[in-house]
Amino acid sequence: MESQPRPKAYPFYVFLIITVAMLVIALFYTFEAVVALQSGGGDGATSQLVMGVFGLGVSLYMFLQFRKRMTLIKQSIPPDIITVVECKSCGFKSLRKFAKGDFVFKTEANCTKCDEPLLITGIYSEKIET
Amino acid sequence: MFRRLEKGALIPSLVGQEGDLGSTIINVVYLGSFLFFMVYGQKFQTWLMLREVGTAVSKLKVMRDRARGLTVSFAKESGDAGLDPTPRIDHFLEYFSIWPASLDPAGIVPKFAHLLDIRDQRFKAEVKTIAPNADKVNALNLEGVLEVAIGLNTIYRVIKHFYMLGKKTMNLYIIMQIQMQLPQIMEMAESYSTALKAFADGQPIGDGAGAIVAAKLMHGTPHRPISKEIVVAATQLDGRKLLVLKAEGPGSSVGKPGDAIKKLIEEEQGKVAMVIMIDAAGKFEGEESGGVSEGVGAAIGGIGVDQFTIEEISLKYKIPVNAVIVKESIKESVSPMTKKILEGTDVAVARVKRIIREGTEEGDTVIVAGIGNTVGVGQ
Repeated sequence: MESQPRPKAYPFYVFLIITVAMLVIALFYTFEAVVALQSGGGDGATSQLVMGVFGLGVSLYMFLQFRKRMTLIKQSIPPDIITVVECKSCGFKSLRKFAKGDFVFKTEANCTKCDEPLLITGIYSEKIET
Repeated sequence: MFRRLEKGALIPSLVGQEGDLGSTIINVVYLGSFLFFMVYGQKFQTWLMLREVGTAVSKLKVMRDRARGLTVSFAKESGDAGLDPTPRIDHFLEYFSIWPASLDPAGIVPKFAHLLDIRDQRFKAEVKTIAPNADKVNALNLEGVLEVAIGLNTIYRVIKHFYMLGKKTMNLYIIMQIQMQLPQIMEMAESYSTALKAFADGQPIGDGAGAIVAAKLMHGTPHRPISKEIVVAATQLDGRKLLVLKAEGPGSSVGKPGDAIKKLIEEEQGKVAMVIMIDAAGKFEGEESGGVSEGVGAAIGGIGVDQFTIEEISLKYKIPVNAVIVKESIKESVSPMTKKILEGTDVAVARVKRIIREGTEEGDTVIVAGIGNTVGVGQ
């Protein structure tokens, strides 16, 4: 196996700074354009507004991309695994968290109600995206 | 004829917007981007695709490294050899099989069967070396973990190969062929990643639906081994004799159900009214997981060795082979079993009973085979 280089974090911060800067400039342009349009408008007001809105759109898109990336990078939470324990003689049924060593049709300790052995009748996962 | 340009008016005059700086910038950017995409469009597209493949390679590397780490820790905890199993596992992660030549396909099935046997023996020997003190169940589960880790490592290596090749040549078509398949490849890799924990903890996986159905039918009756890692139990249903078989659980195993069915039919001298096979099968997008369907034919996956054996023997004795499938996605098949699939196994049990009642008579013998990985499923 090859050596494992440490992942570098600085490109993320550089992109973040650029995005924030772009957002600030876009907000400034939009504000200027709105003020100019309210006060009668100049020749450059419309193009300034276009640039401002475009900048806002791009920054928003980049923020969404960051968010998506962060969600993907985040370790997925393992699903909860449930063990179904049943008593075949009295019908008692209980659910508990899966413990290592559990398997379907494993006999467990005796039932608290009728003292017959309990049986694991199912093991399932709570959530799996399909 | 030509208008004399004033100092600093070259660009505004080119884009036809004099006086308004904002409009000029927009026009310059518009024209510039038009020229840029005309000249460098393909390069830009190649770069975007390469970036996407590069991200996938990074994710696959994370998955591969996690798989490796989990395999090492599971090997240490389940059957400590005293020595560090890491180098041995690292070597084994690149284990491969060369499938038989198919230029002359006649007689290829026994060659596949032989190769699969050798592969299986090698896996068992390797597990014995890296975890000599592991009990039977943990040894089988470690085999499953190793299989999955090898699968993830292979995916990572193949995608990385195409990524590096694409980067070296900047050939759009090399990059495109891998980029187009990425969604399926990544889904498969994520499924493998989820499967690792399931195998290590001995949790039933979606593929074990057939094994659970068989276990529900055979539970409480004595069973005996019939072929490699396969057990069979004789039970009754409305006067019919049921021979229910499945891989021996709860360790990770699929066994050789083809050999088991062949042996049972021969033991019964061909007097078998019906063979019913239950397996997990891929659903189409939009279909409900855990849905049950029935049909005819040998419901069994893999390379086809078992399917071939079952088809040969059923043809010899003219035995109808029925199939009941529990639908699930590829991801679900190797992930911990979901509630819907578990509920689907109850429906499949009822369906199997109905098929037997409708298709056979009292006194008949029926073979019921639960196919699939029996990890986390006893009998």
